[in-house]
Amino acid sequence: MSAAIPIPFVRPDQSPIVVGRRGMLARCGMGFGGLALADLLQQTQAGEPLNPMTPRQPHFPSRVKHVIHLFMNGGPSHVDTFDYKPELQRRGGEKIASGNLATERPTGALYPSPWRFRPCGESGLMISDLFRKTSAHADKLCVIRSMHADVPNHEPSLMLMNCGDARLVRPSMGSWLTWGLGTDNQNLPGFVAMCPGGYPIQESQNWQAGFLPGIFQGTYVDTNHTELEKLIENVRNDRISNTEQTQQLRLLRLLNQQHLEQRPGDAQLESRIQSFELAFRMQTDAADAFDVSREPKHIREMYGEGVQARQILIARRLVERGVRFVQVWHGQGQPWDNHDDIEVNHARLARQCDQAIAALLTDLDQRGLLDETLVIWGGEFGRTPTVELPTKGANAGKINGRDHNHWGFTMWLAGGGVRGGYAHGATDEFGFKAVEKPVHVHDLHATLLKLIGFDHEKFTFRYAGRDFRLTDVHVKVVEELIA
Amino acid sequence: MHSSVSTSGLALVAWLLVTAGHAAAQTAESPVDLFERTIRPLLLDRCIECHGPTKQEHQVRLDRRSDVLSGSASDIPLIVPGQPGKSRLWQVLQHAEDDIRMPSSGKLDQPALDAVQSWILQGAPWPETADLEADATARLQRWRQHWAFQPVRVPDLSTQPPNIPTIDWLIDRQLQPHGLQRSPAAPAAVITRRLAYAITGLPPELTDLAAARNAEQTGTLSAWLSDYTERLLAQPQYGERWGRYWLDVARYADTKGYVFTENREYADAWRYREWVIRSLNNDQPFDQFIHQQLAADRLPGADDPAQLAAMGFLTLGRRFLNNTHDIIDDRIDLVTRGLMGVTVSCARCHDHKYDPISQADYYSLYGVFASSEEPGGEPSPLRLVDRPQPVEPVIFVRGSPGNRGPAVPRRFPVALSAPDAPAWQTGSGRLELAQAITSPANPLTARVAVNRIWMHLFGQGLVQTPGDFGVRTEKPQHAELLDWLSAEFMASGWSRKTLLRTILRSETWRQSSDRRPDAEPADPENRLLARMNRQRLDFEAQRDSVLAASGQLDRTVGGPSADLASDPAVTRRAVYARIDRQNLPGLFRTFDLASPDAHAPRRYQTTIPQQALFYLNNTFVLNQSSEIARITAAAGDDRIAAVFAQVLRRTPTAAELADCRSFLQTIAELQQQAGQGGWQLGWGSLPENALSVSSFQPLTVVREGRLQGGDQLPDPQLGWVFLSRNGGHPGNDLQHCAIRRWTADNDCRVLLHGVVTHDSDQGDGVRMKVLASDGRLLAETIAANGTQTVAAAGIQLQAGQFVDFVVDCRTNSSHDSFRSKIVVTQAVDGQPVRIWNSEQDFREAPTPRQDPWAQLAQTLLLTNEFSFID
Repeated sequence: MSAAIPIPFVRPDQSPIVVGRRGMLARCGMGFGGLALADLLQQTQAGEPLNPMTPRQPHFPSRVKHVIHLFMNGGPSHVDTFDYKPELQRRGGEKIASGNLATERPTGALYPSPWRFRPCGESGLMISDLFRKTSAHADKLCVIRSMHADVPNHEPSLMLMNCGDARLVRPSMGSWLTWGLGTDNQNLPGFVAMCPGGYPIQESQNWQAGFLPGIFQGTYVDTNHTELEKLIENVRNDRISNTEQTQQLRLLRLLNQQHLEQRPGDAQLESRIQSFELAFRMQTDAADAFDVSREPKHIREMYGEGVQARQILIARRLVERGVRFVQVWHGQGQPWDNHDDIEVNHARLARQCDQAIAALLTDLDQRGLLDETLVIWGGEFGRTPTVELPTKGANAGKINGRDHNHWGFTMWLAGGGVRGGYAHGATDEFGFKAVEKPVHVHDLHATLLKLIGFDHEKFTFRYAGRDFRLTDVHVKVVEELIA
Repeated sequence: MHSSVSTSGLALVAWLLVTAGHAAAQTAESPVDLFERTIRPLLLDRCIECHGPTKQEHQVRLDRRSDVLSGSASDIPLIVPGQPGKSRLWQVLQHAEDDIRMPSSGKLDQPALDAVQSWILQGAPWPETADLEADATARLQRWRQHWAFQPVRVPDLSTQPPNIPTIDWLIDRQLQPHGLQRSPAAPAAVITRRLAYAITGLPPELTDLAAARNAEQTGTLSAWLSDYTERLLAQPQYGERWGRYWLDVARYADTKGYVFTENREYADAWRYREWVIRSLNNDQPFDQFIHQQLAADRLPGADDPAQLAAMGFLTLGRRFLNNTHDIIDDRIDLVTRGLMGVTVSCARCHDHKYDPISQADYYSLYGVFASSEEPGGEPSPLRLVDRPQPVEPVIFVRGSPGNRGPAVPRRFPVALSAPDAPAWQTGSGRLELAQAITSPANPLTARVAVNRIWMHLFGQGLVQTPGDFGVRTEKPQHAELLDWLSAEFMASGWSRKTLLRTILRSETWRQSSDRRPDAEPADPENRLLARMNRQRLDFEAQRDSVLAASGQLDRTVGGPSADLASDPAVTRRAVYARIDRQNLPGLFRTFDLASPDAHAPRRYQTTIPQQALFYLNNTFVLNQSSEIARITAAAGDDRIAAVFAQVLRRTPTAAELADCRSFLQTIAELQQQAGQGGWQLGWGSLPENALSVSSFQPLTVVREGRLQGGDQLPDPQLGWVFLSRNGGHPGNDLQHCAIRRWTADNDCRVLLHGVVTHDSDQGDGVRMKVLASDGRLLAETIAANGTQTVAAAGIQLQAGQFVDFVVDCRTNSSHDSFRSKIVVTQAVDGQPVRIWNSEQDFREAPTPRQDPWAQLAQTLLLTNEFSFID
């Protein structure tokens, strides 16, 4: 963990810490270098760690230390990206004999994908040209082609994907994980949710802590901003220079020390003293973590231009610094929700992120981080293989888009412990419904938890007299996804 | 996916009716033989691993007759003898598309299925005799023996000495077996501070602290403290403090949460808070307090909007996309867990796993709330009224409204009712519900209320789970004390102020909070209360105390909600905060505010660096610190003492005085030295080959995010020169360069990195030179229709030395708009310790420095002493 790395607190000759004076605790004098894990593990009277972000071990050993969830909110079309359906291509314009499954709106005939699919990598996974650059990593991808959810609406599906319950207030996956594992870098938030331009729909509930302590809620960052103080609250001080602040902390420590001497051994007091030193370092570390201009030119060029490139690069910088869970939303609202003009819109959206996603996988791999980082790609559901029919007030009636589809859709995993170059399950011949080895969102959650080192049935939190968990009952871990 | 179960179940029953005779006829052996020869082995082979003695997944156990016949899954009995279609066991064996499929390892083969069907049809005989009804009764009996469901019993006080208050005597009785005694009384000033915060959530006045010390010396402290307690209880700030506690229970918010794009504001939510505060200040009996919140519309005064606002308790929850069932679920949870410490809402889909709450109990209460509606508008938008025709509730099988099970009456949970309690008849039954909750026969309500009050006063409850008194909650160490307090509470007419007085005058509450190493081996968590708990101020008390220290606290009582995050700061008490439950401000999460999504039994208490960041950097704290500096400015030589009095309400020690003087001097020196540390934006002249800028002039006029020389652009004298957050424009010649000047505020070594972009494909571009003030040319580049970088590492600077980043127009000033970003990193041993970033640091106007006295005041606000109560 970062606290074990001896980093000087400030310039040694201006250390705000005076060692030895009036029985000052020696470890304070060493700044963070001397901040031992034991201190962070101090507990309150109720047995809870005072710093709830203290790193913790999962149920069983796992290589996975971080998660990056690339959330294509709105629902990307699986039959246009990672689920190749020759029958759909062949029978465009035909009605499905057995009729269309019920989705949010009426849909019509089969609507072939405008994109070409190619076999990629040694595995030969079929991937469309929408993700041409990402497809170079085909052998790293574990593509789940048989995902299914419960309803064809954004709000409940987002809640299900993020929190494991469609309606009620439950903690999000990132909150569960930071609660379970703490985080490795005490100078940065443990769970960061990035979304450029504003919130996705259902807003901050997507990264809510539910009944867990509020601190486990995702820290929201609008990546359209570049100014640090708009990214992290209270991280800058215009009126007091860093050097002056160092002096304030020094005086604070003297005053607190005199207070503590009369109240020896109170872990609450000591913990709060330390939190100020952590905060001081956070100011520098956060500035550093979110500033992609500090990356070398070739790295910035590898990720490309635009806000997707910037936020996906920030995601890498965050996990590299020990952040536990990073969620990268494509954009405000529901960008992938292309009821009309899917050809134009999906092309635009994929162009915005394809290069950066490919770069992320390359970059993590080159840094040796891919093994310990679980990358998740997908939306809250997929889209129909049939064309959406005009519905007054609901779409533009252009008959060139697709409706929501919870019956079957695709997500992929990469990195940390997943089986690369593998396609799991299948939808029917057109891509409407998951029929082979269906994987419910709950099953995905159980599998993700297993990858991270948790038995989903034992990963519970007692609340309101009940032991809650991320997953529901009747859930199975999909062992085939695990390498 | 659940909705089709009932139809398929019915179809199955119909099919069975047709085939029943046939199946029975086929079986030649006796039913008991069938069980022994086929069914028992089948259960052992395929079921017992997960549903037997070692594991009982989903609480299903299939190895004992009693469990099989009394058990249920998803609220359908496992086995209904003679009726396979109504037997859950049979249903799950079918491997229906829309249902659970058992065994999970694979469907039974047809002969096995036939055997099971035949066995159930023949009455599911099981050769161990057991009386099903007796079993069920025994279970209820076990539940009924749980301590929390027992009537409140006054403990035997016959041996209590007359001079020891009951609380202290009962505490002592638990300490004695461990050879422990209570701690001595805390000093007068500590008790005074405790009382002030406990009752009003605000710090004590200096005059009261002085009076307390004086009383201590004259031996009249006890009387003085009684008098002080009365004065505090009479202040309206009492209702504000304890009102906020109640708002945690009531999951109060000003908004509905996510409801698509419709208006999220609750009209007049604040009037509920108003009602709560007034109720507390009037010491409204707690039973009436509950009655009004549940059924103000059914009580005298039902036309009074102020009284009807009490029902905001029920109506101000999250709206769950306007899903009625979820809204009702939230209200059931609030009423049962919030008021009685029982968790009924988990019986929405199945009988409670542990507690004596059945799904029928849930839907009995569901019927009450489903029979109530929100008419909106006058006289109060917060009220509920009864529907003209009450809803006769049915059980929703597995919680699915499309799957209607048997009808249930509207009534109180059976296990908490008298055996012959009638169903509710009056309207929706809400008033009867309220009365049942506060009935003297219901032991939970008083215990829960008393425990919560104890928790706020001691930092931990007598029962550690204030929202869960169910069977998994152990009998508390001080069960007798809890009962005595509960009995007193009810006997006093449910007076909360009386209960406070009783506790606050106890020696137990007034004892010292110093650690007791002698008691820790036996009692590491201080359950025995050999000392008081040291407590940290919660968010509201901290914020109010900062405002009290700066003299800015607005003590107006009541009124609409206010946005606490606004700037300039709202100076009202934090209880008046507007709570947007959908987008709770980061500040509230950082400081552990109760989640407004559901009844919050207690607040979490975390210590995290974001809290410290708030105190170090937030404008609110900085402004209040400045205010403290301002109001103490007249104190002259005693100014340090004045700041201490303002913030910590005491005089500084000699050592503290010395530390503070030294601090003030250091800050003053640093500010003088640094002076112009950081960025300055200006213009000046840098002739070709010159190594320093002459005549640097700041750009001071702000227009549309640009800093420029005058009102107009181009300026008659300066031409086009301006600078903005991410770029600028040089003037027309080398005498009017655009310059970002960065000055070191200490001796340091820095790394410089700059990017300059000239976007236009016309003109000859711009040049950037990087010059140290001692005449070193550190870097130079020309950007023309493209991006260039400048970099210099290991640059040693002394405090006050500066680096100029000079952009000139080269030979031609047309098309010379440029973008630029400069990062200066100060590093120690290769590790960055400070970063300046020209984009992030850009300010249209220089920010005033925080004066040394304000910094001193702020530092005192940061102390543990300020944030903890001994």
